[in-house]
Amino acid sequence: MHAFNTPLWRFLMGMGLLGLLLAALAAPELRAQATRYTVSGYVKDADTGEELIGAAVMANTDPVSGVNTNDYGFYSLRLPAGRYEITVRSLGYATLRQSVDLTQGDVQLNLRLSPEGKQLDAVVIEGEKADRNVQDVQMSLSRIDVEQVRKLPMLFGETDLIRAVQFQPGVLQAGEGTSGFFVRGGGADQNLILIDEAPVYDVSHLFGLFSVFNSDALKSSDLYKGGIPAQYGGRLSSILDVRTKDGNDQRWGGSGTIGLMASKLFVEGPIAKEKASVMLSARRSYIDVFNFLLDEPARSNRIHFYDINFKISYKPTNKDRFFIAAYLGRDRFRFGSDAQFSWGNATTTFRWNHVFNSRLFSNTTLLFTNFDYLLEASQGATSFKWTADMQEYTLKQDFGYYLNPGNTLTFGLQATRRQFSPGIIRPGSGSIFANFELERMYAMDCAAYVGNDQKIGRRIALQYGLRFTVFQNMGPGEVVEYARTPEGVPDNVNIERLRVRRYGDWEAIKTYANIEPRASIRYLVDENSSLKASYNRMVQYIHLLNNSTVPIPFNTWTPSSEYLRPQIADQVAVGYFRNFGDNKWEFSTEVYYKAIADVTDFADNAQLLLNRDVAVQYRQGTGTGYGAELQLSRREGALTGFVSYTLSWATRQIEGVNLGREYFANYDRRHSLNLVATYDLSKVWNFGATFTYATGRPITLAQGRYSFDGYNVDYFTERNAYRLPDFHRLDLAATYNPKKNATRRWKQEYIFSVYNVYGRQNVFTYYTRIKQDDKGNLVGDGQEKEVRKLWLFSVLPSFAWTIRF
Amino acid sequence: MKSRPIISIRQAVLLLLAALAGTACEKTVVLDLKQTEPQVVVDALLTTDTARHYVRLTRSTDFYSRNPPPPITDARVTVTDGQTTWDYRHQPDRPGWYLPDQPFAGRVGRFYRLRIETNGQLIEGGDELLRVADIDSIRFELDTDRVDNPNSEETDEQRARVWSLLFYAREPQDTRDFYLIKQYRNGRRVDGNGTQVLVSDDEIIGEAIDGVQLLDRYAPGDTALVEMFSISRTAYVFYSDLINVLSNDGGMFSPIPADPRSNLTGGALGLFQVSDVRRRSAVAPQPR
Repeated sequence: MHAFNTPLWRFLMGMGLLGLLLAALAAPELRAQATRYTVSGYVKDADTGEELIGAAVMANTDPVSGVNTNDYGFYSLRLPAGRYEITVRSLGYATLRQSVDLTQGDVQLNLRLSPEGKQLDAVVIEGEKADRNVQDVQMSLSRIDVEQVRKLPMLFGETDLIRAVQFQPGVLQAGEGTSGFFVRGGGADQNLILIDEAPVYDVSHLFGLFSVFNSDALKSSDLYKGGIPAQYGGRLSSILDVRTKDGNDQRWGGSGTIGLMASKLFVEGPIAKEKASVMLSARRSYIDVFNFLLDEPARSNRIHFYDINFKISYKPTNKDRFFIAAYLGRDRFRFGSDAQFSWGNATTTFRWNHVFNSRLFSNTTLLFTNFDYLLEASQGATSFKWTADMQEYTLKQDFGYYLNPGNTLTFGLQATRRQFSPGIIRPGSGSIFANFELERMYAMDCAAYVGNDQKIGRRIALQYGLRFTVFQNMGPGEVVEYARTPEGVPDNVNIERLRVRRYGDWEAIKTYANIEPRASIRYLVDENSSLKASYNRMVQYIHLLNNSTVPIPFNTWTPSSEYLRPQIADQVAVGYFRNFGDNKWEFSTEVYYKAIADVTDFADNAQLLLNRDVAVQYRQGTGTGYGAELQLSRREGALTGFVSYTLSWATRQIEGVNLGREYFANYDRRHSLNLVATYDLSKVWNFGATFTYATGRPITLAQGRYSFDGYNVDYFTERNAYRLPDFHRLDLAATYNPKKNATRRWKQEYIFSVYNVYGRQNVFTYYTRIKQDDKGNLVGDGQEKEVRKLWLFSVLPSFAWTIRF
Repeated sequence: MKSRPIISIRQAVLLLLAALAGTACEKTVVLDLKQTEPQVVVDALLTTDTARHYVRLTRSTDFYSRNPPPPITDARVTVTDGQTTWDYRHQPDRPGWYLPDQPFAGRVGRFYRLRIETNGQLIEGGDELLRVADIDSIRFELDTDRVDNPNSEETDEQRARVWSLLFYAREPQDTRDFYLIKQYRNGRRVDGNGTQVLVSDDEIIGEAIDGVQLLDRYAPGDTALVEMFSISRTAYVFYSDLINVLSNDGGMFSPIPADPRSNLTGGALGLFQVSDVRRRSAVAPQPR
């Protein structure tokens, strides 16, 4: 029993946060004596018009009277009447100072920051650096520098956001060439991955070699690992908030890239200058073109994937702004002429930002997400077409209320309707298969949240909130009552359906409600260092049916129900943050402890696909993750990048799995060390390098063998009792910008990359077989067995050519 | 007939990754695997054939052992259908094998119980003998691909195998049935070097099973024999789990491997299979 799960703790936490909030609301009334006016507006990139998220806006360089721009680039400062100098800082931009006269009334002020090295503005510019690492209340946040990702080494000519995510402290991966990631002891299904606020359910292309994020289209990418603000919810371990560019509202431009595996085109520009813009980004792989290099039968296979990101922004006034963003992506594999499989995501986001008054900001979002897959064998007696899909519709209303410079309130509502179609089989003509359809499932979930960012004096800043969630598994549907084992879990060997209850349309089958407290505190030790602590509770109501280490796109999601309780995670983290050398260097260290109640797992040997009685395979128990993280980054200068180290443990204990004994989670790795660096040697050449080292992941291997009916069968006694060898790899990249680019309209760029420079044979997995010679003939009488190691990549050079306009 | 197409998809995933990488490789390694207590392994089959049905008892061995599994020779084995009890006696000329003195035939609808006592350990298991559908026929079909594009890496003997074997049956739709199919070439088991098991759950299968291609290929003159067994749901679960173990990739894309669930209690591996059985055989013709 974890201490966080006691009702007393929850009560105290809830009451404490409520008290703080009420105090914050009451405080300004007591102090509101002088006349106050508000300066508000958007902070933008001067070149592109892109709003800047998280830029620090201060009056008279006093951080106490400062705010960060919100997720839409909006800020609002309420100050006593007077004249002020507003300072705006954002990483990679020259600091901007601008006077504002707040003696007459509220002022609307949009601020444009020039990228560093392009200091053309007439306003005062100083070489001051951003110090969010120390100043922000938010801890356990990895801001992934999208620009830097583009300079990092590639795999088959593609840089990838998810690979950059996997380098962050506290993040582990299952193996190279896989796009799943594991945050602070949580599973790959516990990450909420958002593209323009819409969840993406499977981020993999080619089973994980690449992710769905085309780096051309990306504007920002934040990974929350702890201290998660109340506005986010729905997954236990992390939120990866990826936002795409709005499109340049100043001039038309773009790029085209030809890589080893895929080609990309990116175009952006104003439809009406500073009022409306579009962005379009498309990528298609052409591995299928190189099939002639392969041997039969691989040669007759056709494999490709594509992505399209599209966004249109309309910003007629500061008061109202509209955005439509869409993502469409798909993978298609064809084997000869008679078999194929495919999967894809589609998301659409409609967003309306409205400024009610200079202090009340509103964001209304409508979201749609679809994920589907298909497997088809089209010829012969075993022809079939298997489809599965899921949809999610969300209406979200967020408010930001700038009470005073000391308090920024956020509150909102969210309603989501989900439907799941876990599998339908339709036979082909002459097929032995019958029509088979798993029942559709429906769920509705609602959330309300309120949070406050509060500054108390110069040293203390707080961010706290409550999220209240209600989840309903809804009809139409049926609940089957199964016979149970003496241990009380549904019997998954002698499956017996005792009773079936039917539910009608929109009838609640099962309802769950939870309160999720969130709280973070920052204590500023001095100008250059701070201490931070956070607690968060996260609740996850949907579950991935997957009992392998790396999810495949054919794994389906299922809602919490009679047989699946919501998973609940509590996490505490404390950290020390320090900047050195005029904020050029950032250092942070954090320790965390995460306790998961009702973590979802599955009985040994569970058959999860196309199973009407899959509910008997569900097993829930406790999961624990704890560890320490260190990171040293250099954000500016010719050499940028970071070194991160993670020491961590991740275990699970679940009745009905591994005989109820505690075991290491599939992704448990004791040590993980990553180095990510880019170096601008000159305007012509820049270089990138990544190095990664990690303890091998656990694996379940045979501890013996036995003979049954002629089969020579592995005998297992314990889950995840072995480990793969340590994993390490060095990748290098070089980018060449010809000198002529300075005068060219069409600027070229050549990117060379080597993956796995020293050819390490990193073990992807082990499997066993009966001993065979090189030609695949059995050796001896078939008694002897052997272990085979499989590795994916040796030294892999690649190349890409980009043209910018 | 394999009711679980996803198995081949998992394998396809690995193959694909390998093919895409172009550089993917594998090799044999020797690992330091833990030693474990040997477990009793029961391999028992009782069918509707009139025969001396067997119970074979062995123990598990270390993974790297080069020896056949050690037989258990001193067990007391009985089988009962509630009316008759058969004593199975150890056969000193076939260590580990226990047979009844007289042949008998299992009957559809009876519930059979197995009881084994060895070294103070009591192992019990039971299952109902269920009816199996008839095999309509098995037929050969020329694999023109293999005729037109002979594989130069194969031996002459392997290259001669140009006939694929097709299976025909009617599946009764009003009952919930599970099947196991065993396949032989000239009396030798065909199971992909001990990696393939053909089992089926009839839930996603229609009535007409017409021309399902079975494993491997046959050369002209080869005798093909196909046996279809009825199995219980528990036995089906056992065989499905066995497939998981035999085609496992170490839990990367396939489920984390675990010992198959079975109908035996008392801490033994293996299965007491009770089946109705049908057979068909045919000789592969000369290609025209």
